[in-house]
Amino acid sequence: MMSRPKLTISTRALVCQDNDLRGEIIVGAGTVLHPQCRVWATGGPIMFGSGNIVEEHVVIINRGPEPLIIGDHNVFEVGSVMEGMKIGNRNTLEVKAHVKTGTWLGDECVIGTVCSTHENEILPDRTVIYGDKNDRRIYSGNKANQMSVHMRHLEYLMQTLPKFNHSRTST
Amino acid sequence: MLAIDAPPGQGKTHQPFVHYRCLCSSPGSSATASTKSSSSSIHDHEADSTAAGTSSAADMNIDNTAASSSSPAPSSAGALIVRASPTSHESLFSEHHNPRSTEEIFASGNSSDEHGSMSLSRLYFCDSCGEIRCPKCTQDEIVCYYCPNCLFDVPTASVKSEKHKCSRNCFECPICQNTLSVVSDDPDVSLYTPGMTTAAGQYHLSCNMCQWNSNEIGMTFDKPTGLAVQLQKAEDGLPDVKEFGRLKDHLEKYFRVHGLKQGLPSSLLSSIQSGTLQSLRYVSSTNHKAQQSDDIAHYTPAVQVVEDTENLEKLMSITSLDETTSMKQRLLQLQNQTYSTQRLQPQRIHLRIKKSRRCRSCRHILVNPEQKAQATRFKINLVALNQLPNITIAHIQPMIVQTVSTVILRFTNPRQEEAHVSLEAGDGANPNHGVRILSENFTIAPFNEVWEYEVGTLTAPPGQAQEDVYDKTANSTSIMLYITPVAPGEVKIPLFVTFSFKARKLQTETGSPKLPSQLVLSGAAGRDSMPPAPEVEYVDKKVSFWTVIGFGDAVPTLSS
Repeated sequence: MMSRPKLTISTRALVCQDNDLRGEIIVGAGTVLHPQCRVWATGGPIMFGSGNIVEEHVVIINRGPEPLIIGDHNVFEVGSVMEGMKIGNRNTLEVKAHVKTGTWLGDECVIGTVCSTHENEILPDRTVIYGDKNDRRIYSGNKANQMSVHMRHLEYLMQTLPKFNHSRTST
Repeated sequence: MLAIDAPPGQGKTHQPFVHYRCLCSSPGSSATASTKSSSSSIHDHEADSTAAGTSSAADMNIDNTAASSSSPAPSSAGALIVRASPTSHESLFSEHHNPRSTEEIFASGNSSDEHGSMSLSRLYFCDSCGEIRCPKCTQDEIVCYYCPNCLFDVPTASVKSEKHKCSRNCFECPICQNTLSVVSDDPDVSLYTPGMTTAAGQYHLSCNMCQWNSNEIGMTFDKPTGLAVQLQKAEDGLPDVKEFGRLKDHLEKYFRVHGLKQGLPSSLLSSIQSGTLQSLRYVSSTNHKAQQSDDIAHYTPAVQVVEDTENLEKLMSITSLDETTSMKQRLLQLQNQTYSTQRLQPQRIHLRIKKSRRCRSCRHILVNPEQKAQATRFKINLVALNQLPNITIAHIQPMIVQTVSTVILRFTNPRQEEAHVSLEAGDGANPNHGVRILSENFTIAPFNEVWEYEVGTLTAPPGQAQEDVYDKTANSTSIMLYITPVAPGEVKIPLFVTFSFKARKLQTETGSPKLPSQLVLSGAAGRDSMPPAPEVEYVDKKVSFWTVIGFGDAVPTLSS
């Protein structure tokens, strides 16, 4: 039905086998793709930077011809959907968050639980979308603490996930 | 199947509903006093049912059910006169402990006016009065105060001084009103120990929802406990707070001199706790005082609140709404109501209360929660939902004027005892639609927990005389109604329900908050295995009430 994905995976990345990858995907060092996530590069390629976490049931789709570039240390929590054009560094997509087509995310943005962006918009750095009315604000960002937590999270996943999952390598 | 949704442009459609009428808001609730003492109250209900004043041509005889033996009951006219006899006024909240007679109740609510009636889930049932109670004829009392975040019970004595807010470590975000958490700059600090040395200003409050952080407004703490005290100090220094305190002192002095026993807030509190009578007295006494209150000393404000001109200029130059605070944020910070988001402070979380509910006529407690904040159980829970038969519309046909529609009503018995139900359609509706009840008298099997897991139909045990009902499953019985709407518009019918069962006799008839019979009877299912308590005594209880049942809109003809 579909051709095998063209994967370029860093030796220090962890991509579980039980997931759905399509098209051309480049995964940088330290990035973790949990089982049951879907990364579909139906258009251009999807390029992950380093230290990203893609949890279960996340959907990342690139439909357009341009490559979708994902920066460093982003977290895609369970069930979030990323259809945007570009995503910077240290962003968090919380549970079931939805970044719609054509949207650019800056750095250190937080898309809250079940919140969504508009289509084709550019979110400035440190935007928070929260609440049931998708309220927005720019926060002061105090991510020094956050980074150390993120690094520990990665470290833990790197230790734990391989014990229970087979991992993929580059094709 | 259902003709509920009218085509667009025809105005509001009416949804089917089943409402129960509380006696306190019945349209004819004044019609009580004379029938109460008269001999008519001995009329037993069987006679009433024969006299069912339904407008349907075929008046049913109860003994030969559904069979259309259309013999009009001879006593009907007389009985109706008794019911409808106009009587003198009687205060609803007067002291009467004897339950009202069926006739009184019948006379009180024979109307399709749904005003004052409500769904069963919002009603209570007073065991000792044997009557439905609605939120209006019950009263609330405060059982305890607690913080919803830390679930700490706050003693009533200290609630006022703490301004009804949690005095521990619970705060809500000034931006999004979510609960804040105390975090440390140092991620290795997982637990604070009192002897530990920490960097100054290491702790701050952070919101997980909108990512607000108390660092934004320069608020940090040296230790993670007792934050409320530190915040309170800053708040008390505000000019408006000081001014309010002074004004309160000034007025309280005046109230004390003029004979009001307590200060304003506490007397208000006691009036909430001890019912309407006292609150009425409170109101009247203040009115009385107001007439002679001219001698109150003139109050001179101590703090001059300066005109805020810079605020005006700032507000004029705002280009985006995000630069200023929202109305909600300002109202939650009453003491200074700032326009600048930079000056919004985290607020202590408001305390919540647990309420108990008391019947206004017999003073018995109807609902009483557990005193502790953590417990979600109720000590007494006399809600109507688990004491009265629950009537639901199981099946409905579209209502068409001058056409018979079939409706199936399901009666579910929440009690542990078998219940007998008699129905009677009221004739006081306007317009008075034709109603024919196919089985006016039937029984409902007792509720049994095992049946909750059964699928399928369990009919009555064999050998028992089958009643002519539409359907009989676990603890519910369904009956059929023929409705003939006479005019287009919403079809509402009043239905009089008399519900009788054998209840365990209450040990004492005093006002002590005994376990309700319903709770005691929860063990009755296993009566056979348990050694039977010899003193168990059962009394026949009969409860009558009016319901108003709506069946949606009637359309003039089939084609439209």
